[in-house]
Amino acid sequence: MNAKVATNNPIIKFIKSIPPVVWITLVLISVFSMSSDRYLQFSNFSNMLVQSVPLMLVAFAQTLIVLTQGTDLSLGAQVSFVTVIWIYLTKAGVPIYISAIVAVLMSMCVGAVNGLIVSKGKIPPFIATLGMQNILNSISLLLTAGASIYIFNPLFHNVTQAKIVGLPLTVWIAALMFLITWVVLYKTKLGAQVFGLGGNQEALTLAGINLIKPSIKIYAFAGLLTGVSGLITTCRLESGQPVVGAGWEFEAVAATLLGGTSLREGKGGIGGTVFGVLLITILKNGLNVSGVPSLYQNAIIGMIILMSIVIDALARRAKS
Amino acid sequence: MMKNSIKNFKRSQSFYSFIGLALVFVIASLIVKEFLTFNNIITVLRQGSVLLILSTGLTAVILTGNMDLSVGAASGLVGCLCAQLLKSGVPIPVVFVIGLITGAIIGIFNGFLVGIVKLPSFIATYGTNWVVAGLSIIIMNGDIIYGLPEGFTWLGTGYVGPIPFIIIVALIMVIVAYVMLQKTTFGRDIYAYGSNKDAALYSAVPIKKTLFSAFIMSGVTAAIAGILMTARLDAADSTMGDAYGLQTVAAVVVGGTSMLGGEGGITGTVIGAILLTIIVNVMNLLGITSFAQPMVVGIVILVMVLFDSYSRRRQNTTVKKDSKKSN
Amino acid sequence: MNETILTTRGITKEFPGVKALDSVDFDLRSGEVHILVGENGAGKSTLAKVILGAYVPEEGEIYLGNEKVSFKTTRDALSRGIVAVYQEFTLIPYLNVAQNIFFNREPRNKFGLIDHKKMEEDAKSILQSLNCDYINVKLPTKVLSVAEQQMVEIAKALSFNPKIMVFDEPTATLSEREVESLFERIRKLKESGLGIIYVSHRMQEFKHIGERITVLRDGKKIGTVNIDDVNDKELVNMMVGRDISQVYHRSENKFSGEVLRTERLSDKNGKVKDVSITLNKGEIVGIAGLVGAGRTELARLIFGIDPIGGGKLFIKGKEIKDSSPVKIVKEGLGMVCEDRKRQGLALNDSVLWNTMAVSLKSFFPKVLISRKKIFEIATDYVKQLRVATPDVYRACKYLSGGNQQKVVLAKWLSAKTDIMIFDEPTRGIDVGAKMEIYAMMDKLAVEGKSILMISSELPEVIGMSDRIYIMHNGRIAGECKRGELTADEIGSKMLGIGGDTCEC
Repeated sequence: MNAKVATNNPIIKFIKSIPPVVWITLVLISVFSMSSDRYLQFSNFSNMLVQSVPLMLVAFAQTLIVLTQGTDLSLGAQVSFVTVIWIYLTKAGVPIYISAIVAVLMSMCVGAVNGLIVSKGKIPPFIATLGMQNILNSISLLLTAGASIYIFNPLFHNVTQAKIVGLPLTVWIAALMFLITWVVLYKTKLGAQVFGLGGNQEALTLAGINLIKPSIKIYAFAGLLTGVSGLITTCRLESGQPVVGAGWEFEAVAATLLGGTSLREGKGGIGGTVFGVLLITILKNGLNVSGVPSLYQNAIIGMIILMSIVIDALARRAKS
Repeated sequence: MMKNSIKNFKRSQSFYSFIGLALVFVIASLIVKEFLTFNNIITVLRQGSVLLILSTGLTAVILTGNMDLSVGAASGLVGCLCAQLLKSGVPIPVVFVIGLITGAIIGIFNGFLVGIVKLPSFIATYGTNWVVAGLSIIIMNGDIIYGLPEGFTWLGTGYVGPIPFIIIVALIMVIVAYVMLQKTTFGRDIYAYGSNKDAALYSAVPIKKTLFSAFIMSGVTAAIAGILMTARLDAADSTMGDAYGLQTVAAVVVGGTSMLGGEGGITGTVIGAILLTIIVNVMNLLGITSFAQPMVVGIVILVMVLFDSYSRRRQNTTVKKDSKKSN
Repeated sequence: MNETILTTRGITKEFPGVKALDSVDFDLRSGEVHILVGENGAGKSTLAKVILGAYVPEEGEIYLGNEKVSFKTTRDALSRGIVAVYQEFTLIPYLNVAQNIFFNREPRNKFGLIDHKKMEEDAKSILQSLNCDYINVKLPTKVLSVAEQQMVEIAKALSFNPKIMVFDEPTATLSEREVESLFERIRKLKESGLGIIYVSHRMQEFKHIGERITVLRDGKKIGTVNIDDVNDKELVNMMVGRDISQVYHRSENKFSGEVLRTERLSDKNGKVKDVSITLNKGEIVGIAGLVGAGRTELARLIFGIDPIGGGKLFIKGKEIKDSSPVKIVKEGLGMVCEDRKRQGLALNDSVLWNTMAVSLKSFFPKVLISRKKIFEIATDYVKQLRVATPDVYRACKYLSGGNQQKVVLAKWLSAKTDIMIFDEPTRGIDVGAKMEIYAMMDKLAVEGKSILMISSELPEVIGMSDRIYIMHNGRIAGECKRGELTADEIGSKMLGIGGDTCEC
């Protein structure tokens, strides 16, 4: 009876409607702000936004794929691959803009191959993309002999320093990619098919819809997003690094799940993912700012992310 | 009965793996002169021991239709932990016990994430993988440890007659795993769980216990592998288990155990682990850089899984035709 | 009006181990509702799926008017104006109503993007034509009620401008009021000149909407009759094909001692409320009720799958707390599940392992197993139950429905359980296998075992049970002994009408 009275209260109703990810974020912010005076400064927050961009794009890609009931474990490797290809080709004399485009096209092709293997081969997405992850890692390592490769070009600096209406260019790029992903998801046939693949594949088969084409398109679009993420990462590092994206695919899955996208029934969207990524970025930034040695960070970040997924999953189940 | 098991083996995916192994063996002995020497064969088996032990535990997990992507990191962590404990003078038997318990705890943790929280196993164990790898970094504090007690390193380097001790351990592990999975009611529970979890529940199979057991088995074999790995290298380093994660998945899958669960077994896994070790061995003998290894392993996994999926579908259609004829 | 728009000649369709359709002729006129009827496994859904292009028949021809056609996929049939409203819903849970209706055929604006406004208006006007404008086209279909989802299904089908519509058991999950409003809409569609094929096995309902009935049995067409020219009894004879007393044979039997009792048993989701039933040694007790009345939930509760929310459960006089299937089976209770393919069997696994699934631990209490002994035990049960399989190593997915069900029975017989719950034991199996299963149930009862049988096929419940409980809305709505109530009386209690809900 009490519960019924409570749900009629609009304030409590509103509070209940807020997804857990926001709560976890707020708790983290308050914990970190206690541990460091510098934490609550505006410059730190703007910094975090910039830091979050590359992962943000990867997480959009992951969200699309999770919505189809898949998971792409090769996304992080795709980012590394793009940074390496861009620098490698430019070093080999290809004009820098052309090599950038080629790098992105190559990661789209990688995505398309993933989509083809998953849909035509009918094999679990995670194992297909795990295989692809290792193939890409090998290629990146072979091209760079295992180390970072550099070129000097003012373009990198220009991209990271440029500001439009007070906000860094890279943040605008992320916003643009959000918009494009949103349009694809909600305004195109492909978007409806994403929800269909995740929500009721049998229905699609019954309706005689070919599942292979949309899968290829979705994974290739994910490749586009990781490609752009790879370009921005290259600009920030001013180098090509064969393992820079390692683990991003996991952080992207975490951001997707925390953002309320379900692994099972094609439920969710990219709006929540934005918050999931911010949460992870706040976590990393907070550990840095409060002086936790970098040696400890991997384990702590992994643990907190895993715990958040667990709490989130349990909370959702308790609700239903 | 014997006839039947041969017939069953021919029908199973492991049969193709066996043919694959034979092919790779022949090709390897043709292109690399050193391959077919007694010393190299022993080397292959010794190199393969750690992988073989890791694969036995993972086979149990994959037979339940789940995945454990944390075995490589888990073996690394146990190796690092043992090395640190030995360095600080803890007696060897105590170190073993702590190592095995650590492995079991990782298994229980995975079982909790999959069985209780109900996360998809590959995501849960991928997460565990990161956490465990991170813990190794913390334990090692960025260093590499050398010079472990001789009584400990003998496990990895010692011989019984002409046979390295590590191979004997691997053999015992394979036999134990084979008996557990093929000859006990516990093993049947694992197969029943993997074939159809709901049907297992309705057939009074203790499904939570079965799932936890499989993950614990995988954690404990990872611990044994980690101890032996450290003993053989006479060193520990936080990344030493990393490469094994994928190779172990590859060994089990190449051995014909289905990712969907309920089909396959230890026989295939042994074939898969040896096949994979030969490939790596040949790449070493040919002087191919280790950077190329993940690619080869990745391609092997993709090809094998695609082949498995294709032949499964073909099998379905041929049996349909069969039964039509018999009508 | 009323010309023949669809004809099939000699349609034959086979599945592993069973001839689902055997040279079936069928025709449909415009402006009529043609009912396809038959028992479980008679082939009615298969025929519908052949007409819809979901199955390609081995033999036979399909004509639209006078033109011969051959459908390879549902798309081929769709392009010729044949649409389906399936039993299982084909909606995508997190797309909205309009998106579902126009899925994959979304109207675009001049930028090539989906024109949501136009799509929603079109969806609204279709729903309006069905008198369903109360459904908000912007809501995800996940949040709609089952009846509303069905209306969206029909709207989706109508959006193709069909000439022929196929309804496959559309009322299975609807309440009576919802059924009536569905019929009203079907009549309206019929008046607009559509030809409608209506697949059903509920005799009570099709008199209200149909013109002609085609009866199928064991994949063969028994006949097509005008609905006004035939009475219930004749129809049942056509469907069953023999005297009912022959099908449902029960031996004289005495009951002794209570083996199972529930006292005001409830679950935690409100699907089962205050259920008190008893089951005696040697007795077959039927539980009748509509889909969704809480029958399967009750079975799951007793079997320990779901946690008990309230009340008590006694097996052989012992109260069971914190139940789980492991515990319940130890007490000697077994369950033949409703969904054989999902819960009853591991389809990819062999007959051998499925037969041994429960009993393995009792045969080998020392953990180590002997393959030779297992082979002997399994072979023995396969022979006893006359499972048609070349050997015990054959995977269950290659067996027919009836033989699969026999393997499920073998599983519990080998476990020597003495109380059995049968949930829809004859769903999807042919008449021959059905009779064998009925005979087996009778034999078990004579041997002193007790059976709780859940079924939505009234003739089966009435024919086999010594006593019947009628469930409605999670509660026991009535109880009667063998022969006390007629099918009509039980039927109305199932719908929750007919007054007293006290235990009689």
